[in-house]
Amino acid sequence: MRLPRLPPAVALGTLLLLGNLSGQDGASGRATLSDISAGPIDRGIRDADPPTAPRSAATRIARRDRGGHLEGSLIVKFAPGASGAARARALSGAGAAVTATPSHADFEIVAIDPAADHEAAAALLAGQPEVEYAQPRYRVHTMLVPNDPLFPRQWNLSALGMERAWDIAPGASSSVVVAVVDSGVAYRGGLVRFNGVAAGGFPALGPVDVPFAAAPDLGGSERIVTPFDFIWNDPVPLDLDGHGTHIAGTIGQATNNGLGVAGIAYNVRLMPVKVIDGEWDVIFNSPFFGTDDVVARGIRYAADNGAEIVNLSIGREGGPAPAVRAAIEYAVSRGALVVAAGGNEGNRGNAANRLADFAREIDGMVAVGATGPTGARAFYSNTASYIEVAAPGGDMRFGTTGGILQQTYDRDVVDRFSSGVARFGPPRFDMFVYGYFQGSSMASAHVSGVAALLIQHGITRPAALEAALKQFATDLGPAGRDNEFGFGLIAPRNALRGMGLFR
Amino acid sequence: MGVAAAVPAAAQAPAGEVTVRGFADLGFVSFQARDSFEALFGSSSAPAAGGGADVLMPRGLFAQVRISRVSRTGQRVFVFGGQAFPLDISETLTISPLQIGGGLRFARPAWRVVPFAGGGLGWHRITEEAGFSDESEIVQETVTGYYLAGGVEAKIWKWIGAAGEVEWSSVPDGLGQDALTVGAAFGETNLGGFTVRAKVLVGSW
Repeated sequence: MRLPRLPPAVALGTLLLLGNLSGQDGASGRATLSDISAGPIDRGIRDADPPTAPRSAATRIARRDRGGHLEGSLIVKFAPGASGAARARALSGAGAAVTATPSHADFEIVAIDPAADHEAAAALLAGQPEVEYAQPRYRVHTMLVPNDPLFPRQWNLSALGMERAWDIAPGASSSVVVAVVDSGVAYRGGLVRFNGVAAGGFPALGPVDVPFAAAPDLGGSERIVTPFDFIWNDPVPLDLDGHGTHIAGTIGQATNNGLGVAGIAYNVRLMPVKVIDGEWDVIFNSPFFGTDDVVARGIRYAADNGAEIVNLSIGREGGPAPAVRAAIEYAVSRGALVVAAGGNEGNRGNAANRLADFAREIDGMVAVGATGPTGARAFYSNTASYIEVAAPGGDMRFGTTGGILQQTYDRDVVDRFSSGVARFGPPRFDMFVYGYFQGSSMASAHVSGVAALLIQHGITRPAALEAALKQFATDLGPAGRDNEFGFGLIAPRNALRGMGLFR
Repeated sequence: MGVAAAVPAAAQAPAGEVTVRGFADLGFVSFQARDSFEALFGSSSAPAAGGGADVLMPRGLFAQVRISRVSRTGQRVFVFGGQAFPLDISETLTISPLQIGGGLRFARPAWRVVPFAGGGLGWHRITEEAGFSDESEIVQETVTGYYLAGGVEAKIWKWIGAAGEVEWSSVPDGLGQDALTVGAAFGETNLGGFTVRAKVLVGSW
């Protein structure tokens, strides 16, 4: 069979992409030097930190991307039954070439000219009869609107009446598995050697040995099930950011242990699935990036490995996300409820979170808006027709303590890239604080935790879980569903109590 | 009145006399809200016990007051798409109807049994209590309905008799008024049902 002739740029892109897909980028890699760490260092509550600027795509350390998506490749789903020849014909017509089918995926990654208009190329491909959909590889980021000052109170749990909800369902049980599809989780210790490359104007660090520790308040390793890292393509999803650890805490932080803070479903098992590359993943030149295809694979992996809830405290703006949508539909079909952050662009143009904007069309997926400590919509929380319920996400306009408190890394020793080159140096991931975050990420985590309680209590179908969350929600804003709060603030106790004959 | 003239002395209050008798009954009620009761209690029928008094009047007329009690224990549920998900929270329902009505007894000289039929109004006192309920969540209310009943009775010995009775009752809008209830989920609003019961009658005949 003759292969189509490819432009040189596409051929080069194909080679680069193959390296990327196989995790064999020569400049990246990491090695675990020791599984034993000196142990976590608790640095207390960070309730007096000065405000930090919210992170956004614009402030991220750059990778090979443009307009929010990677250059040189697309995600393509071929129609069922399309022959190899038909696929090659469709691709050649758009100047593309197939590279490989990733694991946990029903789509292909194809190489195109990096200089091409990726949206136009995707549209051209999508117009071919052999192609079901095609899209750029949009980069996905966490939905956190980071931190500021303090209060050592989890007002968010009281706002949901968790104390009374726990009377009925004390923390679910270990039979319930919640996948934290995020930046990883600080679930284990060790010493890992990375190779720091020049990035974002910072010099190359070269080989550095980075200490890790498990978050002390998260509980033991027995709470972790089938972890996987799609950024480093190995089963050790170490959190190099802190977001996923914070999210895991809200969902299932160990509770009634006389330590730190509480989580909602504090007996569940957590499945850390890393699909987001933090700044340090970039600096250490991880072989994979947090793109739609990686997120889609992470979701499918979680569903294939028994997750009953898939928490997506992540998102992106830009074009549609058919690959992620298909993965979510797959997860729902496998019996998993998918909970997605509604988006943090409410005060910046209100662009939709494209990983959540189809939630209303999927029974078994819930998109979550965020509220602050007064019960009002958080300033950043998107208003949209796809918002289905609301939950506390924090609002630090009311002070640091208006955020959501959970344990995560001490950013002083993690964000060593945020204070200029003079203070740039290797991070540590073994120092923890109780810190306040805000974002629809946090709101999503609350809903996932409550859903876990409902599963433990007998509501097992994803669509039924969604219905219970919506039906028992406390209506906020205009009567009935609205674009700020959806059906309202989730009401865990009422949902757990269910229905009687008269009340 | 023709009916009164046909009633023998043994089965009909003497002309101009009013007599009173008591009764106790035991039976089964099958609720109209079949899906709701099956979801919560595993069955749409329940045993019911009651008692009351008849006032037998001339011309076959009678008046009746009756109180009864139905109680079921099950577990609360969440209903979605017609499927009930049990939530492992106990649910106890007690219905205590007070019925006041009347009717006619159709005695004939040659009959050993006396058919009767009647109807009336019912005030149904409801108590619903669930596990983890606080005071504000315990339901105690009264709903109003009506009923039609009929059966046959027979004198067994001196002042003791027995009766078999069927009753159809309706309590429109007796349930399902709150959107977050099982009745609303199944679209069932009537608390009434069909009852079969046996009665023991005591008193002057």
